[in-house]
Formats: sequence, C-alpha cells, structure tokens
Amino acid sequence: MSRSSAAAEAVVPSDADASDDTDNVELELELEQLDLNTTTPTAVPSAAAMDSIVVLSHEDGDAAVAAAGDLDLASFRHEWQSELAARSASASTNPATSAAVTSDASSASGRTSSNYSHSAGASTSRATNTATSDSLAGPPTHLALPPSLRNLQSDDTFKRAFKLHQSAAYLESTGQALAAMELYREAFQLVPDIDRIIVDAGMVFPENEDMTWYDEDEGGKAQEDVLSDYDAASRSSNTASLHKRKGPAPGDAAAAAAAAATIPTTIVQRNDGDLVFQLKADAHAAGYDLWPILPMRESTLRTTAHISDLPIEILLQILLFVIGSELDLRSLEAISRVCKQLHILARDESLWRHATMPTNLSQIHLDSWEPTPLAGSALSHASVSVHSLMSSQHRWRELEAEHRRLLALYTQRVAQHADGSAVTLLPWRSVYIQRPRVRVDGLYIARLWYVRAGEKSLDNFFQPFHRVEYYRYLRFFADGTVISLITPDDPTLVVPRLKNPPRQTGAEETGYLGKYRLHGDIVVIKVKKMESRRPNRATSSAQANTRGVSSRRPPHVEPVVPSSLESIFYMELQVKSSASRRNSRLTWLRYSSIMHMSDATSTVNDFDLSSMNEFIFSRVRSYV
Amino acid sequence: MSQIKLQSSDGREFTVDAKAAKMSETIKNMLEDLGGDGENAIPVPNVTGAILEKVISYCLHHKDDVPKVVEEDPSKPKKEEIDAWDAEFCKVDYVTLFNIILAANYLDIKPLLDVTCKTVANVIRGKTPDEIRKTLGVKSEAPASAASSSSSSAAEPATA
Repeated sequence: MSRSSAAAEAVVPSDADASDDTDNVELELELEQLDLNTTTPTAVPSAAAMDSIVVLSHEDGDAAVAAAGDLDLASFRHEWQSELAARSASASTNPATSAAVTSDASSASGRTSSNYSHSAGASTSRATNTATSDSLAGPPTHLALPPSLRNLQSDDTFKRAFKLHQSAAYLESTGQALAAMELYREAFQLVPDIDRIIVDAGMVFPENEDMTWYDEDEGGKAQEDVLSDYDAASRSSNTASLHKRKGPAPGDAAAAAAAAATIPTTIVQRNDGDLVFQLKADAHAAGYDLWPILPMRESTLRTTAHISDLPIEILLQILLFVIGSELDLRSLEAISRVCKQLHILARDESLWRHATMPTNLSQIHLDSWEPTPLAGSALSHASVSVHSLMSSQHRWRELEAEHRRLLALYTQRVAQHADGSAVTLLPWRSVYIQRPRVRVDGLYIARLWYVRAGEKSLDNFFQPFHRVEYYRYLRFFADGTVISLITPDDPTLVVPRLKNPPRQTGAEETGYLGKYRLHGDIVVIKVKKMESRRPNRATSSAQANTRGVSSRRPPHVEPVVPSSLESIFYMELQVKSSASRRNSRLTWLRYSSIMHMSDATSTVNDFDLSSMNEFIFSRVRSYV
Repeated sequence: MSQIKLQSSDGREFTVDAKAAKMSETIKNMLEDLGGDGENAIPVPNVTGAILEKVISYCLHHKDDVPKVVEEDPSKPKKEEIDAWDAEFCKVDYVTLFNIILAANYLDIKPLLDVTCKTVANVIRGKTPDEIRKTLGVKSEAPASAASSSSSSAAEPATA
C-alpha cells in the first residue's frame, strides 16, 4: 500500500490517476483479505502464520477482535461456504493450487504479517490471495468466474443474473429503488442465491470482461464507440496492473504456497475474480461488509473522540469538503491511502460522481455566448464572413448534439434498461479517470513566437528581424471558468496571478475570461476581455500579432464604424494525452473571434492555426 | 419564553436564549412537540457540559444570522471559506472538534456541522497519508509492508 504511495510520489508529481491506479491494487487486496478472513473456516498453520503474532482460529479471532457484525457475517458465510464446498467437491482443481504449491516455501518469512495482527487470520487470507494472483500471472485466463461457481449455473444464466444484480445494486445506490427491485427480482428468478454468491465471493468481474459482454450484447448501440475506448483503455491498464500486482508477490509467494496447500481449494478458486476488485462495486455488492473494520485508532485515544467515531455520512461530508470546488482529488487519493475504512469512503461513488459531473455535463450554460442568436442579423448585414459564421453555427450545433448524446449516455450509465440486457456499470471513478478532461490543478502553457521585421540599419545593408516570443496560458477552473492569458511574461510570474478566479482577486487581472465546456475530448472555450481598469498594452499587442488572415478584411485592430462592442474569442481544443500523462496536451482545432458591432451585426474571423503551438500542461502545486 | 434550560449529560445546566437554542433542529422540535415551559431543563444526553458550552457559544454568536437560502443542490459543496469568528471557534484540539461535530450532528445544527467539517477537511487537505495519520491519530495499518515494498517501488515507475 505504501509501496505504491511511495511510487506515486516518486513517479510524477502531476499525475494522480496513474499513481492511484497502482495504489488501488494493494489496498483492494488487503481489503479482500479482511473480507476473506471471516470466511476462512479453519486457521491454517502456515509459514506466514508463524511469523505473525498469532493466527487465531476462526472462533478465537472473532472473539478477540471482530466487531459484533462480523460474527453474524462469519456464521452466514460459513454456512454458505460449506454449501459451496459440497457442490464443488468434484470440480477440477485450479491451476493456482498446484502452481502455488510448487513455489519455494523457504522464503516465507520474507514478509511478516504481524502488521495485520489486529485482524486475526489476515495473513492466511493474504496468502490465499496472492496465491491466486500468482496463478493468474501465468496463462492469462479471461474468465473471471471461478470454475466452481461456473459449474453452479450455466454461463449465460449466471452472467445475465450477475449483470442484472449489478445494475440493480447500482440503481439502488442511486436511490431508484423501484427500478432496482425489478432488476433484483429478475436476477433472483434466474439464480435464486445470486446475492449470496456475489457477496461472499466478493465477486466483481474485471472491467474488461464486463465490457466485452457489453459489447457483445449491445454492439449496435450508440454508446459503443465511447465505451470501447474505455474498454481498450481498461484492458491496457488491466494488464499493467497485473504486472504491478506481481511486484510484491514474490515475498509472499512462499507463504501463499504453504497456505494454499492446506486451504480448501474452493477458497482459492473463488477468488480468481477478485484480482480486479473494484472497491466501489464491493461496497454495493457486499452491502458495506467492510465498514465494521475499525480503523486503526491509537489505544490511548480509545476513551476520547476520534475520527472513527464520526458517522459515515459526516465523514463523507468532510471528504466532500476536501474535494471542494477545486476538485482536489489528489487529497482524496491521499486519504484513501490512510487506512482501509477511509479508503472505502474515499472511493464512494457520490464523491466521484461529484468530481466527474460538474464541469462536463451539468449546469454550465454557454447560452449567452452562443453565436446562434446573432445569426439572423449577421447574415443580412455582415456579408463579409457569412461563410465562416455559418460554419461556426453548424459546428456549434454539432457540438451541442454531441453534448446531448454524451449527457444521455452518462445518465444512462446510472439508469439502465429494465430488461437488463445492457449494463453500463462504470464506477464514477473509472469514468473520471478514463474520460478526457481538462486539468484544473495547473496551467496549460503554449510557447509561441512570431517574426517581426525590424528597421533597416542606416547603411541599408542589414535588416534585423525580431523573433518575438510569448506565452499563451490557459487556466481552467473546476466551476467551468477559464482564463486565457497572452503575455510575454514567464510562467514564474504568471502562476501566482492565475491562482484564483478573478472574481475573488478583484478583477485586476488582464487577459480573457470565459467559460469552457467539454464535448467528448473537445474543449470549447469562449472568452472575452476581462473588465480591467487599465488595459495591458503588452497583452493586446501580442493578441493582435497572433491574428492570421481574416476571411476578407484585414483584421481590424482599430475598431471601425460601427464600433465594436465586444469581441469574443472562440477556441476549440482537443484534449490529448502524452505518453506518460493523461490530458496533458491541448491541440488547436479552431480559433475564431466573433466581433459584435454596435449595429447588431457581428463578424467571425478564423485565425490561422499553423503557427499555433499546442498547450502543454504544467501542474502547479499551490493551485489545489 | 425567551430562556431555555439545557442539561448536559454530566448534569450541568445552561440557561440559553431561546432563539439560540432553536438553532438546533432537535431542540426546536422538542420544544414544539413538548411545549417546553422554561421551568424544566431539556436534557441533552449525548453531549457533555464542556462541549455543550462550546456549542451554545456558537449558537449565541450566530443566532441572529440571516437564514441561508436553501442550497439548490445539497450535494454540491459550499464555499470552503470559514469566517474569522468560526475559524477562531474551531481552533480547538481534535478531540474537542470531533465532539463538537458529534454534538452538532445530534443537535442538528447544520451551520455548525458544516463549519466543523470544513475545518477537518482543511486539516486533511494537501497532506500525505502519513501526515494525515499523524494528525488524526490514525494507526498505520501496514508499516512492515511499507518497508518491504519500498524496494520494489523503485522498479515501479517503469510500469506506471
């Protein structure tokens, strides 16, 4: 766990996503162990167990540590498990077992499990877990279902029931109880004990599996393209994470082997699917099984109030405040590494939904900026740029359509078909990570230059040319505001000026203020000159210089009659990722100015993009 | 009935301005349901005297606040700013702070709950997991795994 936290800090300071992906893995494993812990029917004397303080037998462990809730749960699971063991007695043995057994048992002491002493038996289950992870690293099996379970039901029925159950759980968690009940009912009709199977096995299918089914079932649907992007991404991240999972494994392998040898095979088997363990889904499916795991309080603090005394809803409220309006997900990820319970909390759907939704899909209205209302008048008067205006209008409509489609898609993700034929069950966190977005924790900087002819020297021999360098900065805020700044100033000077939205700093900034919105991977930005007490010469001249050729007229820097009321700059940029960092580049697709005249006409000029360099993201620590 | 008596769990009695006491939805409802007569103290069984005193001081300070417009979207976090008095109010040790949160939750005093939660959130923000553990007295769960796996983390960046 802290392995990955170390890695996260070491790797990049600026990419939360990559780092926390790695961190999940370990935590999830650990959580799973605790989950498993209560289900392990007998204590297994293993090499790892010797190292730990004690591995208590099941009953002792409960008596010693487990909360009251665990007891019920344990007995319930115990029941189920014996049932399962009976059923799968004849099932073929999992390769995991044999593979694990052959590994060297001597290095068992490589990692002690004493750190888990607060949850007795954890070491055993950890061992189990890593054993399975080891086995997976071998020939990659695409089947997430443990063989034993697959024998229980025919594949299709079970898959279908599982999907129904998942979507039902999702609906339930989002408060749509009625719809959820429908789905639950169907699921139960297919597989009467589906809920127990899911809960007990902690069975969550790997994302890519899930998605594959989805694609099969819903190939023709509109969502396909978007989801298949996601699919591809998750596939790669999945294989990557498998690698990572292998990282810490060797130390455990021996312990795992020892444990696996003695543990009933059913346990090993049914954990195949756990490797890609989505905590969120677990919270749904497991019905908050994990909450009773009390964190980590210092024994001295037991008598007084401690953070773990706070009710869950308050902790969530606190976390929501941590994210805040600046979407400080970095802090959230840090919190998720503090302890198990906080990890579960920090993965709560509500938080990530909040983080995912606001700028991209919700209440940001660009209406007042829309070119459409101007169209009629512009067409009659300003023949100059009819063409470009038309195209701009057309483009806008396209984007609107795309926006609506995405909006529908993401709402659909939550509310899915009653027939259960498709389950678009993406955790919000995955949506957040996978989907293109602009980053709000730093600046996008483009370095540009142009050449200006200098005055000829007196001897008519040389004519100097000046290469003028300047920067374009884009600072996005989580609330949909964006500042575009064009200045020769170095980033070090600009960074503090763009920390806060201008309304907080009192609007003494220069530059251009506006709104942005994401349409898929395209950011649409509309900015206009900020209200400023003293216009900044440097900025405006730089601006003038960036202009390319307008459609017919030379760009009017000087307002002509009728005078220009305001000009709006319209940018379309595409969010791209570099090899190592997501969403770290913005490339130009379009850059226009829309000039509103006093006589209610307007002109649109498209700028030449050939000299426009792309924006590169730089994280600024003080921003979030 | 401008004064109301409140009794804390440890038996201390406080006489409070009714308006301040009614910032607590719990007490307000209680008064409405039972028609408090100002004679008998209202028991506040979950809150100790020391904490209740803090809570009351908050209520007294804020009793004349204009009620806030209902948030259009409760799931959206409100502004993180905390006004100066409240910030000073929240400058207590964490044990007290958590107790105040619990009391505010029990007494259903939304603004107090918000301000204390924000304080905690501000404490947590921008810290590393270790710092958070230290600050909040949270026990690290896997110190050994940290040590044993830090070596493997060197190889991590390649795959990350």
